[in-house]
Amino acid sequence: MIKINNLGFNYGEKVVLNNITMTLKDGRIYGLLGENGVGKTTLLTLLCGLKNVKTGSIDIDGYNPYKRLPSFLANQFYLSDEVAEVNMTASDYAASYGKFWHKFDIGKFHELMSVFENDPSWKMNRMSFGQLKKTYISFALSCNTKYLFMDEPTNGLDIPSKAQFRKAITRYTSEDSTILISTHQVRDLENIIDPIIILDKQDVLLDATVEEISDKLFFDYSSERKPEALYSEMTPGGNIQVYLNSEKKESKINTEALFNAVHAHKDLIKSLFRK
Amino acid sequence: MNDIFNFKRFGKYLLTDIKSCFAAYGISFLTIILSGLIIYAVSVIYSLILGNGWHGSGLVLRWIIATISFLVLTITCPSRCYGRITEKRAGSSWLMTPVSIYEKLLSMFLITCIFIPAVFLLAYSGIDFLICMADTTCGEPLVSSLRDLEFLKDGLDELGAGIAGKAVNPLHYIDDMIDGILVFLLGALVFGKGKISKTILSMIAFSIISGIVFTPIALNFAEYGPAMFTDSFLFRNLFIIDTISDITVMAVLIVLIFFRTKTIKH
Repeated sequence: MIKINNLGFNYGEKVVLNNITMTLKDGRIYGLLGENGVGKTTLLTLLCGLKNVKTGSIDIDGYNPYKRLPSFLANQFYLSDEVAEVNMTASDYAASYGKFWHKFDIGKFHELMSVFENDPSWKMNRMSFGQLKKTYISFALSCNTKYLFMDEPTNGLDIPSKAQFRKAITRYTSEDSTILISTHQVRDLENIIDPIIILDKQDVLLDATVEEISDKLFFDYSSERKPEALYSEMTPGGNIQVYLNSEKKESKINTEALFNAVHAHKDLIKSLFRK
Repeated sequence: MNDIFNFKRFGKYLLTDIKSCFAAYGISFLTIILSGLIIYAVSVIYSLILGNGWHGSGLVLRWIIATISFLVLTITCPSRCYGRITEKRAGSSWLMTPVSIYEKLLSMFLITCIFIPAVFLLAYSGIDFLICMADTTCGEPLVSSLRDLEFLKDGLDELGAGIAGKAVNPLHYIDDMIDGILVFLLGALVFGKGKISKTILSMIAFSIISGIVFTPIALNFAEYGPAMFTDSFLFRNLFIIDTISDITVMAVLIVLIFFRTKTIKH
């Protein structure tokens, strides 16, 4: 379990995260959303130990991530937005580095490379950005870690690869794994992320499961415009409106509309989902 | 899981690190090793073009090339093998590999300070030996010419204190060589861009500052004349003091490298 307590972080004078408190439970795929510069990547790098907190604390199963102890690192994998070109074949890379994660499965790596239609015998420094990203995603999932932090994993992936990514995340991760995915491309991951965390400047606007969200908000796809809508948008396929679910009706969440509704009514949403 | 040091894990990591270092530096390393052969070939070609017949590179030229090659190796190897650590893309992978910082550092030290220089010296002198065996116009191999350094002994023996034997022993300079590599390794880990040039500039700045500090002390010695200097405790124990100071510098550099790698953030 990940416990974040009064977390604060700043780059010089610029405060990025301020007094953030939340708990990430085991076995869930968290979607971390937010505008540019609100601190999504910073939060991920703090969680995996690439940065140290300025105030507050992060506790992951009793570990302080910044100590970067092997026993902690062996239980987590961080896939950054930018991936390194290495002068090795993908297969060689996986065989050389995978052995440091005690649950790494080379067979799974080759299977995932095949799912992504990537050839493991290719040299990584000759791959396109998308191919390289898919190689690292395959490696990350093959490590079978308890915690997986992914920063914009679908960036640079073509349309079929995004579908393959969703398939890989749902099929190749164990039930007790906690996955935190930061993304701008919410439609790519709409059906797999639950709970959803929306970060704002120095604040958390929303941290709720899909069930909690659909319990409190209604996503209306009908063409009838309602004045009480928190957010409405005309789409090529019709309308999408978000309003309070006072009648407790069931609806399918539209993450983009949710994001916009949350940003348009920050205080209301915060009070609505306050735990 | 042992979070401090695990020999089995270290062994695995060292092999992976060597592989990764060769992936990053292999072609350059091979070129440096083959520089003697390349210069030999160029010398022969020039000699033939100029109508001087078949003539390989002489001993002096081969010593100069060997020294320059080793210097290039010392300067480039740390930044090419480990400079990536400061970059966000590759550095994160290095930091996030589940191996302890002590294992990573020892591996880094062994590869840059022992393994790569040793492979270079063996391969370079081996190739030089084979060239000299095959082509007598080159003169004697570098390795066997080391004994010619004995001529230096006479001059040094005049100074007394029996330092000559140590001064001409190449093994005596291993600690200096390691210090040099560690300086460039620290530079590779501290500077984001221009790792080599910034390290050289820092060394120049450091030399100027230490020159300002130590010149009065040296002048103080000079006042007493050379005899006073050669009879001094410092001179009589010059090599012990030099070794101690080199080891101290080495320890300081290792500590700085340790704290730098431990506190790198991305």
